Amino acid sequence: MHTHKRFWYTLVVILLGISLCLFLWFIIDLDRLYATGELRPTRGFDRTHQHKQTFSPNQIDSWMTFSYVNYTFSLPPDYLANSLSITDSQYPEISITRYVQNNHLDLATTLEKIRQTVLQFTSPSIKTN
Amino acid sequence: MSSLLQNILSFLLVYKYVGLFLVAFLSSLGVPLPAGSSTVASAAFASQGYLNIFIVLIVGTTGNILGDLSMYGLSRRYGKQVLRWLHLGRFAESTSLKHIETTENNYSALAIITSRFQDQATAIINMVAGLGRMPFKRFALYAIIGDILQTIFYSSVGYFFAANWQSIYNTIGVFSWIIVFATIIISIFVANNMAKHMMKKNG
Repeated sequence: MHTHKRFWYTLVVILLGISLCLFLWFIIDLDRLYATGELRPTRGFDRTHQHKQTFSPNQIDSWMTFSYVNYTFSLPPDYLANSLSITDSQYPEISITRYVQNNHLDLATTLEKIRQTVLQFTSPSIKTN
Repeated sequence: MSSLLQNILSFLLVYKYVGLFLVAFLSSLGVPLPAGSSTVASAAFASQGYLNIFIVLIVGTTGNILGDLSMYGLSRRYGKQVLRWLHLGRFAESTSLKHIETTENNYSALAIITSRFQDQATAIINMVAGLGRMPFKRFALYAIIGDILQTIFYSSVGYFFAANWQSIYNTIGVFSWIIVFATIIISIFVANNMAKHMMKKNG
């Protein structure tokens, strides 16, 4: 019985210790987020507020689908397909990663091409040779 | 960002609400999928207008609830058989498991509701509730309440902190583990006090 009690008390002490460490970690993380300005709502309750945030083409990532990229940057549906000669039948409902795998392309190069293509559309004054 | 989460995000973008439902359902069933992240990400997409936030709330909650009830049902029906098949029959009949079942059955509200906020804890609590043959209506009530609160909480994080949801979510993940450990500590204390009370009552 005494051993049984000691086991539970030890377990409680260990869990309390872990909880305390997690709580400190949580507070430090919150403080960091607040300091970097990330702990700031980017969307309000106002439904008339322009809900598309300003994304930079550099934020395009491999997990995104072409459909999502088109929507985020208000691109015409076939713009990327025509500019990058994309013939994949799943376009635009295919992720960039899957497209690269299906066509045996280099991910980094393809991602950069997509970003540049989107940048050309969003900032037409920037010309690339 | 982990490759699993990247794959899940691609899956959500392609299959949208069906994808969210599947992730929420399978996660509650014990499959190690980031259901919380999926809810936060879906709400972030809804914040941009790519998805509808109300449909995200409904689909996410429904997937979680059906997954929880399915896991409970499977554990209740087949749990001990599976444990015996895995040569864990002694554990299935052990006093430790009975003690855990008693604690959870007596303090089910707190354990069930708070465990919804942590993916791994959800599956464990669902399994123990089924193994312990907790009354279905009680489990269902607390699971539904917990799932609604959890979906609203994670959806709010994704919806209102859309541009920074990944940073916020990592911090929230730490917070959810604090909740789980706090729940376990409180349950142990309360169970201990209850045992003392019963011993006094029985002389």
